[in-house]
Amino acid sequence: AVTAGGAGAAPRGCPNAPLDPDHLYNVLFVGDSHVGKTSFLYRLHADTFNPHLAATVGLDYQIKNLVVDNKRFALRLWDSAGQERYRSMTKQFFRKADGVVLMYDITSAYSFSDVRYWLSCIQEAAEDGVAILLLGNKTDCADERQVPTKEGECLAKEHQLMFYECSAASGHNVFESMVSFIRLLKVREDELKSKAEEAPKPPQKKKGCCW
Amino acid sequence: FCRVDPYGFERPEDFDYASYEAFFSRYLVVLTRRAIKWSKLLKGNNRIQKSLKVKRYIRKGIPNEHRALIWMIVSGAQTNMEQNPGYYHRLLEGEKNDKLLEAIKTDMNRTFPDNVKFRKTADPCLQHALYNVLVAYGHHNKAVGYCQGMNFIAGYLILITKNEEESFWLLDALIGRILPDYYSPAMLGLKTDQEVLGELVKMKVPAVAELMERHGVMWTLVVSRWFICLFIDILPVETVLRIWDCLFYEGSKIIFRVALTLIKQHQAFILEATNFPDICDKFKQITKGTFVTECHSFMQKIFTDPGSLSMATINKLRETCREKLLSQG
Repeated sequence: AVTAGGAGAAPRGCPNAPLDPDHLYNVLFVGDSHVGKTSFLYRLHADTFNPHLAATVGLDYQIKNLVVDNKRFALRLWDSAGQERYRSMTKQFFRKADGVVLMYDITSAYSFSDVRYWLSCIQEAAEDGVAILLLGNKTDCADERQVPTKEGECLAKEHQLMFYECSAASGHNVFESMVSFIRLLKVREDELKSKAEEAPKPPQKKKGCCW
Repeated sequence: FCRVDPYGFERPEDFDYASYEAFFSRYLVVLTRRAIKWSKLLKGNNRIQKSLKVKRYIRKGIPNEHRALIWMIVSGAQTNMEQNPGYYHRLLEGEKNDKLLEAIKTDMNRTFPDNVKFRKTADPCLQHALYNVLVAYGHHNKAVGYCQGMNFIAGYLILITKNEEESFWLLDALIGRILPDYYSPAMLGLKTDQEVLGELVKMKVPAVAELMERHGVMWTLVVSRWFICLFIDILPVETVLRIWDCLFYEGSKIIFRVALTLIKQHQAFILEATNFPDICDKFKQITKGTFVTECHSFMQKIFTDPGSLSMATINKLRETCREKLLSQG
């Protein structure tokens, strides 16, 4: 018999993790093949580095519960295959996402130059005002760095993205970037809510025909 | 039972050895009976013709010692290999596309990291064979090149055939003939088949189709890996091999049979889901447990549970789904 459980269980190191979250966000991870999307998610989930992860095929997902600013957040984190031909499949999902984490590898100039391509995909397919986090992964490989921090910062500024450099291998900035991103997602949610309230209600149709 | 299975895969830490042993001791009886039947069928001359009897035999499982040979024969890979002597080696010696090599290299350490035979430290290390087969295939079928997912399929073929050239020709049979355009850059065949499955679920398990629609869960989110990897890393190894036995003989229809069986069998369980993530989670759960581990009874079920499934129906659905996808752009 099949038993449920696992994905929704409280992760380690987060004893107060909620079962009933106050806020729930869909976050999609995109970026070129082998930049470290799955490793980042693994670090977030298990707080260790797993160098033996298989290449992601299609789409995969996991749930992460976090408490930030005394509020309980549940993130549905969607991991996607980075290879070019899978992008058309990933695109279908942009519409569902509240936030997108766009990852590149600081040791690969190529993966950084593809960031613009990914941004155009997001702009084309996602809802307006979707929160985007630009993440430069693999800061532990400082000797092989090809993308200066400045360049990431500039690109983020140009497109108004949140920006971090991180390392799934060392754990550097993994939780920090996610916590900041959650705060941004919360702000965006509040903005959307107040916009919806401000929006003028459609005029009520007159009832009856003999008025 | 050992920490590593006969194919080299490390068993997960939470592997249930007791229940697997119970299953395997029963399955061993089946395997022995099938082995005797097969050796009578082959009578030592290693040639078979497609026939109803062979089809029935294959549905009941090909013994491991004959698996590579039978896959080669029934898929047409053997004929192609014999008609093109030296072709595989010429591909490897020919000029190479650097971008293709780079894409393949990236995935070498990321193909079956849980299999000891694919470790860099293994001797022989199957990564070399895997690299060669994928490079040769990418240059043979330039329209497809290399698509992530093919690495896992080629890896399985190498584990079973223990032969690069045979793996190459079997990969060609799968990608070139058996599967309709899953791996080319547009992946249209893959997208089509995911939609076809959706239509079949509408017909055969309507409550599940309705649930998916109500919560806006796209089929691609839950089944893309089933199609792309032909159930590798989704179902247990032994079950995958039994499915592939039929896939090589009967074609891509088998994938729908397996998918429909999984969904239909767990209908009540799936219908417990009340939201989007729940549904996704259920689809992960239904590929685990004794129902799929018991490969012999599972294979019987795929031919009875989903009911009739004619190639005419599938072709018709493929046509309409493809049209729809193309019109959506």
